[in-house]
Amino acid sequence: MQNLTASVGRGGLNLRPDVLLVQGLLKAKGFDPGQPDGRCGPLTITAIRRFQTSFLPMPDGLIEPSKNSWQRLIGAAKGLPAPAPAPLPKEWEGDPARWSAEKKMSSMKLELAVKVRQVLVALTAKGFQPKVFYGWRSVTVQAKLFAEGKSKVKFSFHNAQLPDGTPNAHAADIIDARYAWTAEAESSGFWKALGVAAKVQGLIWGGDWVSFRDWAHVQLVANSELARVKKESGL
Amino acid sequence: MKAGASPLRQALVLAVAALLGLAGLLASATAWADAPAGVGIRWLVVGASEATPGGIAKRARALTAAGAGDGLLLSTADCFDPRPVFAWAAEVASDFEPARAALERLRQRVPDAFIKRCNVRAGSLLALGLPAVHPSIADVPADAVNWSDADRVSAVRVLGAGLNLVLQRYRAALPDDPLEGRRTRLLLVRPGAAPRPLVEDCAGLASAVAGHGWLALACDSEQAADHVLHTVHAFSDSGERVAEVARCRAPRLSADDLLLCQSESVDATGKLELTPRRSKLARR
Repeated sequence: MQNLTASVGRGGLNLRPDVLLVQGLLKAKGFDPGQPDGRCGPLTITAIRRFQTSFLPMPDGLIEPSKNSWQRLIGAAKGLPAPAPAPLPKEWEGDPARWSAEKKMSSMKLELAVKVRQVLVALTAKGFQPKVFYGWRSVTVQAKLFAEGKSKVKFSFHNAQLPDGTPNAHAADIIDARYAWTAEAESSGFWKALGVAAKVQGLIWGGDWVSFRDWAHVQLVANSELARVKKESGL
Repeated sequence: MKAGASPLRQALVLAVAALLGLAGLLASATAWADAPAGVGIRWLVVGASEATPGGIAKRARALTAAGAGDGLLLSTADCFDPRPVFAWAAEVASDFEPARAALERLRQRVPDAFIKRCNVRAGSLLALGLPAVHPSIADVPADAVNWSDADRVSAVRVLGAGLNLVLQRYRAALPDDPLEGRRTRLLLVRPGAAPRPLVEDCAGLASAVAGHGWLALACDSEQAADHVLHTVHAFSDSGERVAEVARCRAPRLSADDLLLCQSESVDATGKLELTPRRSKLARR
């Protein structure tokens, strides 16, 4: 089997030999990318997405060397069935921003949930009306946000889970129910108070990130731990 | 070429490289008459080539450490190559003779170095003398979670009126960075002028517009619920910074020196609200 040297598909490098290779493999398995021509156009990206729907909850239209989609494409080319992803337990379906406060808390790693409760208590004592906007959200939701340009990352600490798919968020977003992300959140002193309360609990606060602020965000471990957390999540 | 190769193997590789180089020159010569429009012919003294931006950045790092010089990391797409790769060039020469002299020097360290004739694409990074892959890309960890190949390759955006915006993608050496050091530096390139840095630390360029003597760039700057918020940076068309508007998107410029954008706010349900905002621009 010829090797893929660089990414093919949406946002990929799309070197002609790689595109030809992927087009050939897709066509052989019935995902028609049109006439193989080495150009990655809409037909090829659509074919990649159709292929990915057999194993990815949120197809991204991109094949990268040695990554899951490429391995599956090779496997598919060898006649191996593409295994289905582990289904998300029913109780964790739906929009995680609309879950009840308790459900959001229970989607967090226990150590984080304990600390977040303390943060909420501290903020309430100062007269704020804190609420958790996000605890856990699935990699499916994250992939959709990323694809739509609504997030800068494909995987975040919000997506951490146990290998069986049970939510185990290492991050939470906390807002004041009155101010949310409006200018009042800053002028009322809410963001500053959130940062102080989070640090008292030993949490990392996204308001400290100068190049890309995430004012409402607190997380359990340093950003340098992201690869480890993703691996431990079985993702 | 690996250090410590036997003399016989080195000689064999040299012979093959010479033949390949000759074949490349012949192929180039036959295509000469049909060459697409470019800014002119350059002779690239190539010491390494790779299919991926990360791969060439690491090869370049090793070559530089071995004393081969800083060189330039380029994409042969800028030479109209139908099957482009990334390359490290020790020299980019306007004439063949200086290139040949540079090749002689480079072959003392890189025996299989060769010369590539390049019809440089107008408006490309190579035409501007800027790298397609920033050297810092070599430092992206192998287990980085949120990097893609596209994040490793710089680009040029034509703004019109002779203005080019270079999106220099690089890695900031910040171990606990939320974006794993993914950054874009924005440079203004005007005809006959040196590139001028506009924004050092753009987390992602959402939009760029130029007109009426002004330039406005919207960079990703904040996360709010399911929305990325932006900061609009405004400049004169010579690159002088004149304004910065936080939480605004979709900038436009008007003939009466107004910067128009959509002010961003997110409520407690996560809904994004956009309201028009106007700022008067004035030269300093």
